[in-house]
Order: sequence, then C-alpha cells, then structure tokens
Amino acid sequence: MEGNLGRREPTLARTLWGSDRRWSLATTVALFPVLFIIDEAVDASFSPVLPGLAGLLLLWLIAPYVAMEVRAWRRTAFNARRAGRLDISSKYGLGIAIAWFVLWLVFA
Amino acid sequence: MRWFGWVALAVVLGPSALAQDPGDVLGPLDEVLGDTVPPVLDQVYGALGQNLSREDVRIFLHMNFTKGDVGIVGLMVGSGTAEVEAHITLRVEMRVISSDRIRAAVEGENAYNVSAENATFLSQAFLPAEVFRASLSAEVIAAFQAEQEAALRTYLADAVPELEVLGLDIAWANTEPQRIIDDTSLTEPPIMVTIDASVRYLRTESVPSLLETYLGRDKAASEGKKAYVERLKRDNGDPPRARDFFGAAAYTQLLNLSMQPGWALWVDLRVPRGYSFEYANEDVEVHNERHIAFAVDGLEADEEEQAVLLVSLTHRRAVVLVLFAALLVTGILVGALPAYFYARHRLASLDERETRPSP
Repeated sequence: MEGNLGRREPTLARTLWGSDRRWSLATTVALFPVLFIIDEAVDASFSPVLPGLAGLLLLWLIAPYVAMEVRAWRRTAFNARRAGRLDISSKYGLGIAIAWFVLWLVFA
Repeated sequence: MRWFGWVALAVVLGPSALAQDPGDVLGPLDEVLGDTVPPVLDQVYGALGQNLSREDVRIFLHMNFTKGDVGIVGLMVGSGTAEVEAHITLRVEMRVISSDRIRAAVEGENAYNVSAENATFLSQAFLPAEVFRASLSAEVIAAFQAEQEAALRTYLADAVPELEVLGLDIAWANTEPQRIIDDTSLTEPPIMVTIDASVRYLRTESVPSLLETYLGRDKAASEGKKAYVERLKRDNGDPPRARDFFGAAAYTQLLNLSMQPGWALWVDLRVPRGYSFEYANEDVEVHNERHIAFAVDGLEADEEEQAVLLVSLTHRRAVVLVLFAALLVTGILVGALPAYFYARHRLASLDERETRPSP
C-alpha cells in the first residue's frame, strides 16, 4: 500500500523487525554500564570489560535475527495490535536505556 | 663552654663570609672543609654535644596537576593528545650536608651524585646548617643555587622522562650567617631551598595503543629509552590484565626515585577533577582517588634507597565515551549490510507468508 509522500506503509514483519532491533540496542546500552560495575565489584584475575563488550556487540547484532526466526519457526501469527505495542514499548525501552546510561556516566 | 664554641666558630669562619668571588671562597672553605673535621670545628661539635656522621637532607615534593585535556576524537583515529599541566612545589631542608657535596657544587661538578664511590676526594666532614651558614658567601650560595637548579632539571628529566619544565624559581632561606649567634642547635633551623616550578606533559595516545598495552603487545617496547621504561613498568607493577579495567587501560606514569643515605623524599600528588588514580604499585597513602602520597626514606639507610613508583591515571568518562562510541560504530558498520539483505529478502518472504491465504 502506498501512503502519503509515496512512502510504503511498513509491513508487520518490518515493524516487528524494527522493534527487535531497538530492543537489542536498548539492552546493549543498558548493559554497557553494568560491565564496569561488575569490573569494579569483582576482584578477578582478568577484567570482564573487554570480553563483555564483545558479547554485547554480538547480542546487539544477532538478537533481532534470532527473535524474527523464532517467530517464524513457531509460525506465530503477526498480530498488528501486538506489533504496534511492541513498537511503542521498544521506543520507550531505548529511551530508558539511554537515560540510565547518561545518569550512570554523570553520577558514577 | 657553648658560647666559647660559637665565638671560636665565628672567628674561624668569618673571612669566608666576606668573600666576593666564588674563586676566593674555596680558600676559606678549605680551612674548614679538609679531609677531616678541623680541630676547632671538632671542639665546637664536642662542646655542643653534636655527633655528625651522616647527612640529613629532607625533600618535600607537592605536585598539583592543574590542567588535563584529552583529545577524545583523536584517540579513536590514533592521535589523541593528552596535555597535562602541573604546579610543583619542592622544599629541601638541609640540616647536615657533606662537605664533598658543597665542594663539588662550588667547583661546578654534579653535586647530587657525590658518594664514596665516585668522589675524587673523600672527606668525613659533614657540615651542619650553622657551619654552612657561616662558611658561605652570597656568591657561593648563588653558584650552589645554579648547580642545584641544573641538577634538578637533570633529575626530573631522568625521573619523569616525558615532562617539560616551563618555569623554575628557586629561593633560599635561613642562609644568613648572623643566625649562628642566636641558635643553640647546629642543625636547626635547616638551610631551606624552595623550588617552585610549572611543568607541562604532552603525550600522544590512541585506543589501539592503549589496547596493545593492555594486551602486552606494545611495539614501542623495542625502542631504546622506551624499552627501558617499559621494562621498569613490567618489573615493578602488576601486569595490566591483573588490574581492573580502568587501572589497566589507564595511562601509567613511572617515577624512578632514589635517595642517598641521609636523604629522604616525601611526594604528594593531586590531579584535577575528572581524573583519578586507578592503580599504584607501592605502599601508597591514598587520601582519595585524586590525592596520593608516597615516600622514599633513606635517613637511616647505609646504602642508596631506590623505589620505582608506578601510578595509573585515567579520565574515566573519556575512556567510557570512547569505548561506547567504538562499540556503536563497530555495530553499525558490521551490522548494516546483513540487516539490509535480511530486510530485503527474508522479511519479504515472511510478509508473503502472512498475506498468503491459508489453505
């Protein structure tokens, strides 16, 4: 379907895909400070920060694909209402993650 | 008996206090700075109950870092410049000093590295502050001052190789010969020299360089003086990976400090807001993350006391922001192409499956 200005309306799959990518980015941003908190709290033989960063990068890149393929494998129906809620919640989640990161950076 | 000793001292040493030329001073100095303590001085020491058989020189060093700028963007592209400025106050209190050291200073030699092993003349004469005051003219003090300033510049260049001295002011105190009449102690008040200096530190770093240091693959270790510095760091501190992340990925400064017998050094370091000391290898007195203190005490030692201080300094926010930015850029670059093809092909097939009427 064509919307205003010639833009195609996002399909359900694309809406879900975008939400999954925002949720994985939000998780990455939220967990980033946790690496340093753990590093400071735990007296280990090596620092977990760099391995943790590699893990976060993989999580951010791979999680959206996994989520989409799990839905496809379960043949879960793409419900427009649920997709819409997921879309909105992913945006709020990313905002909260960014706010948490900024607060940690300023006050930690 | 004490007053007789003071009067005798004044009579013997009086002429040297009137000397106008450094070249003329050595003559009167020789009268008191022979290979052994002259009889009259020995009488004075005995009369006053002083046993002067070693030096007593105490150094107090306060370093207040006043500025710290880090080029964050430059760090990511390999040319991040860290510029640090500091105000240093150094106070040296000389209560007892070797006559060899004074003679070396007056004759233009290296007065700091004088010891039994390298002195061309060996003397057992240790001069307390009072004799020092009485035996030296203003010109000798000025000559001594120039030598000490030059020796200090050399010492700083060796101890902190990457430091540039912007300004250096030296002021002497308690040098007036007339004090000899008022005091009852040969060593108090000490001859004091206060050195006020401003220094600047410039260093170029990058994220890859910091990571190489963290992983122990620093290429600079194979080059001359840098190899020496890196070896000292390895031999006198925990390996970077054994510290927490900020302690490992921080800038590590090496201070190679040594004190001769009878000398002691107390060091006090402060850094500006935003910076923090993340790691130190010796028994450092940590007041808070921006203020540490350290001492090398050779007052009672018979041999040279040496200590290598390793201090890791970082700007946490700068490091965090650089790492976060690197994570985002890497994720965007690596994930862009696969995401494009997935969206173009796989999502299209999923949409088609959803829109296909079910049988």
